[in-house]
Amino acid sequence: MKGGNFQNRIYLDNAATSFPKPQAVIQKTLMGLYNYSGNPGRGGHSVSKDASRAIFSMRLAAADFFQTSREENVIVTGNTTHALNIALKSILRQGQRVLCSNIEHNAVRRVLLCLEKTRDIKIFTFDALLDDSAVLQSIEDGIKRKKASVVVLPHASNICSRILPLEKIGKICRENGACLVVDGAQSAGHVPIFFDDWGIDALCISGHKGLFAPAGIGLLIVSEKFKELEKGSDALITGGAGIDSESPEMPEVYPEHLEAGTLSAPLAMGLEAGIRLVSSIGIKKIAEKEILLGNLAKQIISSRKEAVIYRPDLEGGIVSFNLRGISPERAAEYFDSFGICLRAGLHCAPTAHQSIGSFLEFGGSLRLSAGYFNTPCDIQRFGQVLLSMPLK
Amino acid sequence: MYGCIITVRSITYAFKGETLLKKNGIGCKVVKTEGKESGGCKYGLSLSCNMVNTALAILKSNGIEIGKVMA
Repeated sequence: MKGGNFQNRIYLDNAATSFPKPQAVIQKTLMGLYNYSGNPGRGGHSVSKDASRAIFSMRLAAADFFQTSREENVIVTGNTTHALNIALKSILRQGQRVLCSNIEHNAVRRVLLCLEKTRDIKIFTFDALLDDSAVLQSIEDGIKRKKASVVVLPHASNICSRILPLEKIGKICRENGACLVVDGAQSAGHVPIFFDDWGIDALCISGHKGLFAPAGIGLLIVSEKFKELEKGSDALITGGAGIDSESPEMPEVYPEHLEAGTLSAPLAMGLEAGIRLVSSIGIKKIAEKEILLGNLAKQIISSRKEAVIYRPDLEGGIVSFNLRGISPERAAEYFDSFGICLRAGLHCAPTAHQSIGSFLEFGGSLRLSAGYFNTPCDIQRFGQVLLSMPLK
Repeated sequence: MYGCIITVRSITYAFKGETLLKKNGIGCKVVKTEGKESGGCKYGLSLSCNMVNTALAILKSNGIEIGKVMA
């Protein structure tokens, strides 16, 4: 397929969502709409069962991709935010202590702040932008000294190319009895994740970013430990699950326990297609290309003397920057007038911007997030427009 | 439809069980069970009654919780 240059546009906002979607994903989603649009897990007839089978197939693919042995622990959600809400609201009880990072997305931050008000949870923060050994020490201190029983963090940041050492974090959590909830929105499809081996208890991901699927489907993958901790909690959403209808409660069995309402087989098919595409390309190859594009972007940006690049030492496809003399929003408009799509603002992560230093001076930043289907030519064209931008 | 039905806890387990049984050469089909017989909305695996014991062993050894066996 063509690069991010679609209809004369250069799309560099892949951290928001991947665009355009690959043909393989579009074809499978369309096939789903044509042939697999029955209501899964409800009827006994072939149309319903075909839809159910499509979802089951996706669960198998996801379990394999994220390296967990139990496909029944792969729960379908609407997106990462939905998954995080379920995960955190299921296991954080009255007065519990939670450790989170200083670069959380609002999908975590707002949930925790809400639970602080409603369940009096205590929130402690570690600096995710320190080096790995300092981060690991902070997390261990947070669990041992601050008595945090739940650790929630982003595997990868959405405003810079920081990737946390999740394998080692998982080990610390496991050894110290803490439950690990991971916001995998920015890492799924970009960084390998070994759910079982790394001791993750809840992995929350979207289909529409690094897995190239349509928006509207995400996954929550849970451990047996999570299922134990969840017992007795009030379900976030209750309703029809297709089984045990005579019971007033949601079924105990997973995944139906956390899946109320109709699931979308077409979206599941799109997600499975995306997972298989990422597998066939290879995550290593995807990451290498994103690093190459990100480094090229940083090189070009830094040739502009007014440029401020945040954490230029971090390598990856996400580059946050500003230009002194113009707000990020006006700069983004200028780029858009040339068909170049960047996102400006706080990126739903205000504390992250406070942490990198872009909040006070600029109220946020421009964010270039290159994807696998972007090309060096896309970045060069971005550079041409950047260099032409008039400043006040 | 085969002669016997093994009920399981969910459609997800039904598909998981179907995959396992077919891998082991046991023909089966995912079916929705009769509410009155199975005790509510459930799914099951329809299979030949001759194969029930073998099937039960395979399903249990793979962590699939069994409900009822209905003829």
